[in-house]
Amino acid sequence: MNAPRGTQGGALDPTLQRRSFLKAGVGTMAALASLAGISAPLRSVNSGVSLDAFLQQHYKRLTPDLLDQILRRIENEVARDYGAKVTVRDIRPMDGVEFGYALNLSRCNGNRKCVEACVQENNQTRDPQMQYIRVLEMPAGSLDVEKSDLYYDHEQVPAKGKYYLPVQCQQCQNPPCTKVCPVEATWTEPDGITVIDYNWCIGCRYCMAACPYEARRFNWKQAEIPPEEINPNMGYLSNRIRPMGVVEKCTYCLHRTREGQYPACMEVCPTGARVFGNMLDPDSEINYILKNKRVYILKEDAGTAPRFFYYFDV
Amino acid sequence: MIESRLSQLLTLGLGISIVLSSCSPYAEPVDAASLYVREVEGAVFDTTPIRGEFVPLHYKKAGFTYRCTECHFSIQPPPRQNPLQSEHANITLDHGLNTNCLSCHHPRNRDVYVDHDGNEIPADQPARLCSKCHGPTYRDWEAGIHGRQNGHWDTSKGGRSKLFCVQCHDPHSPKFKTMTPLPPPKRSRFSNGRDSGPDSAP
Repeated sequence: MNAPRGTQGGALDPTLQRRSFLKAGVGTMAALASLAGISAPLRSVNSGVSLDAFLQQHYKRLTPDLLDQILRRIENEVARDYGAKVTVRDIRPMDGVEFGYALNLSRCNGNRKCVEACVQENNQTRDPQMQYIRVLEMPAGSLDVEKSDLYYDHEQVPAKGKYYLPVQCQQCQNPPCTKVCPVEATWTEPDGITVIDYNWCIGCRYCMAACPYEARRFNWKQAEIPPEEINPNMGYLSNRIRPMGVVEKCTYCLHRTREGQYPACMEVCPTGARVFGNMLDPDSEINYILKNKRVYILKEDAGTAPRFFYYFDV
Repeated sequence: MIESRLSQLLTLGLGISIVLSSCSPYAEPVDAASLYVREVEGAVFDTTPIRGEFVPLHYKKAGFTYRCTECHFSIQPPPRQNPLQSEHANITLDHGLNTNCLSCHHPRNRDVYVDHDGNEIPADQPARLCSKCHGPTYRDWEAGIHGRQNGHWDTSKGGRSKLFCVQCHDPHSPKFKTMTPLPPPKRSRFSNGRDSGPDSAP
C-alpha cells in the first residue's frame, strides 16, 4: 500500500481521497469476509459450547469474580440443558492434606457397586457409557493384568479361582499424564489429586496415551443424564457435567473429600475393602495400613509412584 | 492513515461479531420453577449395610422380645446341641470349628455373651466377643481399616459411622455370601470383542 500523501492538515486532494476511500472500502470488505471465514468454526462450535465457555481463561488464571461468573454460567447451562437445579463450587485443597487410598484385594469380591456409585456421584454420561473404575477379574495366584477380564458376567461373585482388582486413577506423585498435556489443562493439586480444567482441555488424548493405568476417559458425546439422576453437588474440577470432546478422570471425589467426606466408591463398598484418608496425618487409617500392611502399587516399574495402594489381608 | 483506519474497522468488526455471537441463550437464567431439584444428602447412592435389619424372632408376634431368658429361664439345653431346634431351626451354623453354642452364648444368662473366663460380655458389644478368636481382625477393626466406615475421614468436619461385626457378618455363618454383581461395561464398538475399555465410542 502506498504511503499516504497530502494528508497533513487542510482539505484532501479529491482524486486521492476517492482512491484511498476505495482502497479502504475494498480492504474492509475483504477483512470482513475473511473474518467471517475465520469465525465460521467458532459459530459451529457455538452449537455445543457457548462462546463464553470457548473463550474462557485457564482455571489457574481466573480472578475470583470471573470464576464466580463462570460457576453461575455453568449452573445456568445445566439448568437449561438438563432441567436440574445444581450448585457448582470451586473447592480448594485443604492445608496439610495429601490423600491416599488403599484397597484390600482379599476383601473385594467384584460386585461393581463402586463403579455404579462413581457414575452416579460424578455425573458420568450414561450413553455412551463412561466409568472411571474398572474392576478386573484376575486368575488367582497371578498378578498379570494381561490375563484379566473386565467384562466378567457371572450370576454370583466372587467366582471360583478368581480375585478382583479395581483400577481407577492412581493419583500418581510422578504423573505422566500432566507432563504430556500440550496446553497444561491437567495438573496435580497440592493435596495430590490430579485434576483437569475441562474447559481448557482440547481433547487431544495425549494424557490417555501416557497413562499406564488407562485411568482417563474420553468424552465422545454431550452427556446424557436424566434430571432426577443428576447429582446437584458439583465441583468445577470434579463432577460437573463435562463438555463434549474432553478427557475426564477420577478426582477422588474432590467435592466430597476436600470437605472431609469419604469418596463415593468407598462409602458404598459392601465388603469394606476400601480405605481412604490423609497420608500426612500420622493417626489416619491410611497411615496405619502403610505402616502395618504389605502394600504394593500397580506397575511400579513405570516410576509413577501412585497414591493408590493395594494389599492382601484377610 | 489508511492502515490505521483499516485496523480500526477490523477491530470494530471483530467486536461486533463477538458481541453478536456471545448473545447465546446459555447466559440467560432459566425459569427456576421448571427445574428438577434433588436433595444432596443421602440421595445419591445406597450405603445401607450388607445385612441390614435383623429378622425378628417368630415368637415376637406373641409378645416376646429379644430377651433370650424369656425362654431360657427354664429351658436348659445341653452344652453341645446339634441339630438346632425350635426358634433356632432356621440358623445355619457354619462358623468353622466353632460349633458349640456356649462358646459365645453365656450358659446361664442368655441375654449376654460369654468371655474366656466365664464373665459376661454385654449384648451391645459383639466386637469384644469376636475378638476372643479374631484378634488381628479386631485390631484392624479398631484401627478403622476392617469393615466399612461412612461419613467423614476428617472428624472435625463431621461424624463417622462405623459398622459392627454383625452388621456385615452373620455370626452363625460369618463368611460373606456371594453377591450378584452389577452388569459389566458395554464393549467398545471398535474392540472387536477384545478388551479395550468401557468408554465405547458412539
